[in-house]
Amino acid sequence: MNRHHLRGLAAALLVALGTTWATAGTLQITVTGKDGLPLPDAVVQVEPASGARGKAPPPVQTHIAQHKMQFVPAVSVVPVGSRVRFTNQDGWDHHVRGVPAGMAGLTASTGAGFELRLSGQVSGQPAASTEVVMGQPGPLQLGCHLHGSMRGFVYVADTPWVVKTDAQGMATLGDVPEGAARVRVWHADQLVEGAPVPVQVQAVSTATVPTQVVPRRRRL
Amino acid sequence: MKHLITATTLTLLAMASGHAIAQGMAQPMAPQPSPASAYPVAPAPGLFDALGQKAGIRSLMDDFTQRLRADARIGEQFKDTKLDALASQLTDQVCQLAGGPCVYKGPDMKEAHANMDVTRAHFNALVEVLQVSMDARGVPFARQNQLLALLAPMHRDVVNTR
Repeated sequence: MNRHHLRGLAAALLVALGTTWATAGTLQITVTGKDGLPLPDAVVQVEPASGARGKAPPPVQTHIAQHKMQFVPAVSVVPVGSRVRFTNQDGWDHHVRGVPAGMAGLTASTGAGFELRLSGQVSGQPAASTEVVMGQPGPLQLGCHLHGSMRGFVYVADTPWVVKTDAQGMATLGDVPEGAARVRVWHADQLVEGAPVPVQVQAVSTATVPTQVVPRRRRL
Repeated sequence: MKHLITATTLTLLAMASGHAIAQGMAQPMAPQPSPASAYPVAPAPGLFDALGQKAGIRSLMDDFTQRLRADARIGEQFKDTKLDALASQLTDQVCQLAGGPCVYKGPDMKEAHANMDVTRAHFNALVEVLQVSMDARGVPFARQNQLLALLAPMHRDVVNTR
């Protein structure tokens, strides 16, 4: 019998005894950029100091559109093994590629990532689409071979405690083990990841994580 | 200084071509704004043929896109771009603008450049590369200017960063 089994057994016993020992809390994190304003589309990952990884959440099916020269949504967070359907809603072709983002892209083996060609949508007909399974954890950068300026990201997570910030720069994570933890923030426009921020997870806790990120603006 | 001259020349050319429409000179027909250009620009008579029709425009664009990637000022923007596809899109666009029987189906110029920070200097650099390409292909100077006049109004949509 290994340690995991023992821990599971202990937890089961505690539950069985009807103890009120709370084991998990909710953590609400606000991420700010270099200008101090809330930073949307930042990926927040919480790592309990105990080293607990948590059970990888079940894969999901989700969707990323190519619409008016953008990936929509621009940043997706999905559990490892998830199926992502790419759909080209523009009237012209896109040649989508996904490669490990940032430093990982420099060392990734050839063949890591994917690429797919989607023909332009003819009005009145369904848009071309293809499904890709996200098999490797980590951030993937999306681009288009035909339109070099298109950029998007898929953050493939292998723990349950990963979520992206909303338009208000807020990320809420539930079921995080109480106690000491570290918060890591990933953002597309962050060149070097900042030092993890220590937090104390309680039943309900909040934290603000400042970063040096200057988000790139779309100029229209 | 050279950039300034190029930009001024383009503006003048754009104005000149607008003037031509106003005077009702022999024009094939009043073009409508399209993704190829949001401005109703009319091609000089015979421009499409002078550029060697679609095949001539395509070989000009093949040359142009390779020079773009090699350019020290703006080449970085094209390092991950499939030049073949870019040349094909540009061919459709230029062919249509020059009065040829093509339809450009790509993004409009605002959308196409929204994710890039394009300055006036970038725009002028691209114009200069195109001029070098046209020189290399033996396009007569007057015809070069007629093509540039069709492209010049785009700076309002393409240049999005001071």
